[in-house]
This record gives sequence, structure tokens and C-alpha cells, in this order.
Amino acid sequence: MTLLGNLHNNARALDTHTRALETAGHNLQNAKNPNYARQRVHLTNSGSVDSQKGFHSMGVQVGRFEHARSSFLDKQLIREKSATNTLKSQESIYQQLEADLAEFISRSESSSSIHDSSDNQNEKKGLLKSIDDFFNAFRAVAASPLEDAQKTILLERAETLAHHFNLISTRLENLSNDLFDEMKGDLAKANALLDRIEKLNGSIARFEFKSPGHMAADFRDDRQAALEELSELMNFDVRTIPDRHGKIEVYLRDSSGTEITVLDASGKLGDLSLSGDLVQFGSPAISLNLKGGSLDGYAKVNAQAITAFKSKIDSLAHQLVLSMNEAYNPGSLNTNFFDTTGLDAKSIALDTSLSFQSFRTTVGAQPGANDIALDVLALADKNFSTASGDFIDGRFIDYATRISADIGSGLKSVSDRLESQLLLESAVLSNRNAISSVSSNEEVASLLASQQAFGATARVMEVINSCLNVIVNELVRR
Amino acid sequence: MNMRITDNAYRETSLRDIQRIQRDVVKAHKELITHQRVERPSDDPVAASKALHQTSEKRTLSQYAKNNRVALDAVTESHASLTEFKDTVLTRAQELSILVDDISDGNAKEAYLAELNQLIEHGLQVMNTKHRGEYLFSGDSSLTEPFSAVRSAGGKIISVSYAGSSKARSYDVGEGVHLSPTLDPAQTTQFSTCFANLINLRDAISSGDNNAIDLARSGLLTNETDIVADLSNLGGKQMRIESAKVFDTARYKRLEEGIHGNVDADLAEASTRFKDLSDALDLAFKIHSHATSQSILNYL
Repeated sequence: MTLLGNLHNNARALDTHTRALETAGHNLQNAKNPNYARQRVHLTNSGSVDSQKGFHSMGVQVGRFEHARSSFLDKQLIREKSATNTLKSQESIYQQLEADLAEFISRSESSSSIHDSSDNQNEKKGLLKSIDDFFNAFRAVAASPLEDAQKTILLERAETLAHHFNLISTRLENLSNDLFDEMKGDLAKANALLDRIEKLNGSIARFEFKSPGHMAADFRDDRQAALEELSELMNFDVRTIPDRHGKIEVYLRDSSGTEITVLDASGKLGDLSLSGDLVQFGSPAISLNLKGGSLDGYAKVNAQAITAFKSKIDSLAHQLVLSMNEAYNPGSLNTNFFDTTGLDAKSIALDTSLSFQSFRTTVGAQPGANDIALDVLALADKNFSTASGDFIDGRFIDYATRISADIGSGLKSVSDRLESQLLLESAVLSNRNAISSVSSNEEVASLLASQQAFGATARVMEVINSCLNVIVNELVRR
Repeated sequence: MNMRITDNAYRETSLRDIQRIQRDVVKAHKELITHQRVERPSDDPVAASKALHQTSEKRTLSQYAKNNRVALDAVTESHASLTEFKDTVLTRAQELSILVDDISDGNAKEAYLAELNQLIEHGLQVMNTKHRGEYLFSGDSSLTEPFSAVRSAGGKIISVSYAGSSKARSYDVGEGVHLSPTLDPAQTTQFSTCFANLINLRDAISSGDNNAIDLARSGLLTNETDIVADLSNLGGKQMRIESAKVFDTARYKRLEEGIHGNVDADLAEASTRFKDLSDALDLAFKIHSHATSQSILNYL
């Protein structure tokens, strides 16, 4: 190997060390970037040549470029993020449902004395309190049917109860509309993300096709970030397409488990759409069976909690209207207490003919009689049964308490599961960070090592240069 | 476990731990401020459900307590009226029926007759007593005067009849205690006989018919026995009303204790937990701050 040959080898070694320095610098720049996977330059011997004077080393070169990603952990994280977001979206809706029902317990507002608690209007007003207040007003009227004040209070409380049902129904309707708006927003995001993944697929393929053996690491990081963002909206599977220079395809499944590809090597195959709370794809539209992500969470909570809650509140209102009118107007010979057309929480209302003047406590002629009030009070303790054709099971107050307890249990269950799920997701993320994430200490050490190697190579070149100087300037001149 | 510790991994783990401790600190803090462990059904669905039921029962008991006061007033008033009737009207009428035996003075007789008329008027007034705007003894026809009198041209009462209802108004005065706090109409109607005996006595004295006087006196004695039974009956009702009040007050307290057990925070435990968690959070901040400031760069 000649001195000039050596000089050439060392110059290439300087390039190699520069590349290593660049990579360590790039890693350090991205040390806080959660989507970035560290890159590593693996140096290797450039080989040797056999000459008349024996074997000569060709120096050092970049042997392998490593992009520290585990496709196994990446896929796992996509699944876990999906599961986490299902629960997060469910939790947020359950929290809203619980707030809408407003069945809170406030000890500072409740009375510890029997003599002033039923009129404690400072108590937070939930449906339970409205039902209690309504029947207690009848209890008071039963004792004093001729007292105007008691009748006024009763009518006010009946109005409040009907209004409370209306309010809950309106809140549910708003919640349902908000949920669908949220789903539409998430679906638009999902379509935009699929567009982005399609573009990144193209960029990766172009780069890796033009530079065989090289990896479009930064594009791949961006694509993984987009996939993870998409997984927060829906669960899906990803598969690398063989011989397509790093392209992937994204597919979901329908209710029978058949794969529905939404993005392949040619690009995005169409937009996802929404029909009710079902996410659909293609033409004719196929309903997708999402098994995770916020879209799945919203759809599930809509079916399991909101619809069920609405049905229960409507049943309660329906039963109240029917039973009250039966007790207040036996034989339907007179005016009703509740409007007979308002048979759900949204439309329940007092009968338009009901007023202070028309309100009656007896079907007979005796003004001080309280038979109607007693019949109404019997309803408070009546055990209804759906098996017997009623709309609810148990007493009014039991049924209303169960509704509140069901939402509380639902929320608690989702929150508990979310807590476990977050631990699981963070464990997977920790595992991935251990492989992919940047350690600034490691990078600084690598930077120092490359700096040392660079300095040493430069020193060798300086020595070769001085040797060449001797040959050219001193020996040749003589 | 031999795991690479990276900048992101360390920061995320550390922040997650801090957030977890912070969440627990806020929870303990809230318990200390509100004195409540359970505020929403989701905090503890079973405990909240029990507490909501107990609160509902408390509201009902509180309404019973109000009805109880109304009933107690009514029964006390009824008792007072009957006692007044018995002590003032009946006892004096019987005394007069005995006093007239020895009477020979026409003026004294007239005075007794005048007194008897006043007693009948008073009796009528007592039995037509109103309480809270309603007649006490007319059953559920409480806006109708229970006893109406027919008077002679001179204004004397010549007959009294019951005009009230045959049905009393009953209602809940306590948990499981449903009663009418006044005299039952079946008993009230007997007062028509009582008035008839008083009128008969007056008329017998006026005519000097000793047999009729004896008969009226005997009738009044029976009336007195009946009224004593009525008073005893009202006393029994009063006792039931007062017992219901005592029972419901005790039950209300037990419910309050139940709610306390289900919902209220254990302040000693919460304050210890709060202190421990605050210390842990303080330490976590210090460790996080210290560890994130450590780097190989500090030594270059």
C-alpha cells in the first residue's frame, strides 16, 4: 500500500467518523422526541487487498446503519394505545352521564336533624330528591288537604319533578349529539391520518428504492407516529408488503372477521364513513368491527350506557305518568295529573288542566278527605314488576337509585380498567423506549469515541502528509 | 432486569409516578376538605347507593315528623275539647240534676235552667271547635260544622244533630303508623245523645218531672263513661303519635350514622395519608429534579 493509498483510506475513515458524529448529533437533537427511534452507525473493516507486498487493509467504513425499532413492540404499542383510548373515551362519557344525573352526596348540605331535612332546599338536586320531594308533598297534603300552602308546594314539586325528567332527557340528547360530533371529528382525523400514512408510504418507498440497503429512518418514524395516532382512534392491523420497499398495508375487520383493507401499496382505498355509530368503509358500505380506539369506545358507550340510561329514565317517567293518573283519576272520569301524551322523560308534563283550583285530594265530596293523596302515597311504596306488565321493577325510588348506581358502577369499572390499561401501555412503552429511545449519555459517549477516532485518523494523515513532504520536498529536490 | 434507561423513558416513568402521587394527594386533600370519602356514585357505587337510599329515607322520616306535629296538635286539641266538655258541661249538669232535688225556690230553679242552657251552648261550642281552620269533630267533612242545633222561637236549643262525615281523615304520622288523630266519627255521633240528655234534663227541671230528671241524670252518667272511654282512646292515639316520633327520631339518627359510615371520610386516616403522600410527592419532585440534571455533559 502506498502512502497516497493510505492517505486515501484515512480520508475515507474521516468520512466514516464524520457520519458517526452526525448520527450521534442527530440522536442527541431528537433525545426528547417521543416519536424518534435512535439510529446507529456500525463501523466495519473495509477489507484488504492482496498485493505483491502482502495483504493491505483498506481501512474503515460504515458497515451497517441501524434504526432501533422493534416491529413487535411497535405493533404491541398500537394495540395498547387503541385499548387505552377505548376506555378513555368511555370514561369521559360516563363522567358526563354521572354529572348529568347529578346524583351527588353532599354531607355539608344535608341535615342531621329530623325536623328540617325534608325541606332542605340547599341539598343538591338529583332526580331522587325530586321524587322524594314529590311524594313527601303528597304526605303533607294527606295530613292537611285544605291547607293552600301545602297544595302550592305539591304543585311546585310536581312541576320540578317533570322538569327534572325533561332536563335529564335534554342533557342526554345533547350528550348523544356531542358524542356523534366527536365521532365525526375522530373519523375525519382517521381519514387524514390514512392520507398521511399513504404519503409517507410513498416517501419511504422512493427513498429505499433509490438507495438500496439504506433505510428511510425519519420517514419510518413519522409513519409509526401516524399509525400510533390512528390507533388512538381505532384498532387496526398493519402488514409489511413484500418487495415494495418498506410499504405497509392497513386493514380492519368486519363483523364476520373478514379483512377489510383500507390502505395498500397503491394508496388509500377510500374514506371511512359513519352510519349512526357504525364506522363503514367502501362501496357498498361494509360496517367495520372496531375493537379499540376512541371511535369504538364512543360506539360502545352509546349503545351500552347512553341508550340504556335513556331507556330507563323514559321507563321511569312512563310508569310515573300512568300510575299517577290512575291514582289521581280513577276510572278516567275526571282530569288527569300528568299529561297523558307525555309518556317519556322528554315530554312528561303536568296536565294542562291541573291548577291550584282544580287540584283535588278526594274523589268524593268531602273537602277534608284525602283518599287520592293516600292512593298516590301507596304508589311510593308499590313494588312494580315488568313481569306483570309494568315499565319498571321495584319502587320508584329503588329504580331511580339503581339507575344512578349503574352509572356509578359503569364509570368505576371503566376507570379501574383504564388504570390497569395505562400501566400495561406504559410497560410496553417502557420496553420500546429501552430499545428505541435516545440515551443522551450513550450518545455523548459515542460522540466522544467518534471524536477520538476522528482525531487519531487526522493525526495519521498528518504523519503521512509529513512523510510525503519529506519525499516530495526533500528527497526529490536532492 | 437489564434495561437501557433512556432520557424519554426516565422522564415518562418519573412524570407518571409524580402524576399518580399527585392524584392521590388531591383525593386525600378533597377528603379532608369535604370530610367525605364518597361524593359521587362512582367513588364507591355500593356505599353511594346505600347512602342515597338512606338519605331518601331520612327525607321521608322528616316529612313524617312534620305530619306527626300536625297530628299531635290535633289529638291534643281533641283531648282538651273533650276534657272541657266532660269537666265543665257534663259534671256541672250532673251536679245541677242533683241540686234540683231540694229546690223549692222558683228563682233558684230559673237560675239553674239558665245555667243549663249556657252549658248546652258551651257544649255545642266545644264540640264545634276549629283547629287550623277545620272542625275537629266532623271527620273528613272538616269544613262542615259537626253539630247543628235547632232552636226554639226564644232561642233555646231544642235539639242537636251530628252533621259531620262518617269517615275520619287518617294519614301517616310515622314510619308504619297510620291513624286519624281525632275522635272517630262513630264515637262523635254519640254526642248527639249527650246533647239530647242535657236538653231533656233542662226540660225535666223546667216541668218539675222528677222521673225524667232521674232518667236524664242516668243518661248523662252513661255519657260521661263514654267520654272517659273516648278520652282514653285519644290518649292512646297521642301515645302512638309520640312513640312514632321517638322511634322515627332514633331511626333518623341511625340512618345518619349509616350515611356517616358509608360516605364520610376517616379524618385521622385521611390526614395521615395526606401527610405521607405530600412527603412522597416532595421527594419525587426532588429526585426528578436532581436526576434529570445529572448528565455526562456535566463532566465534559
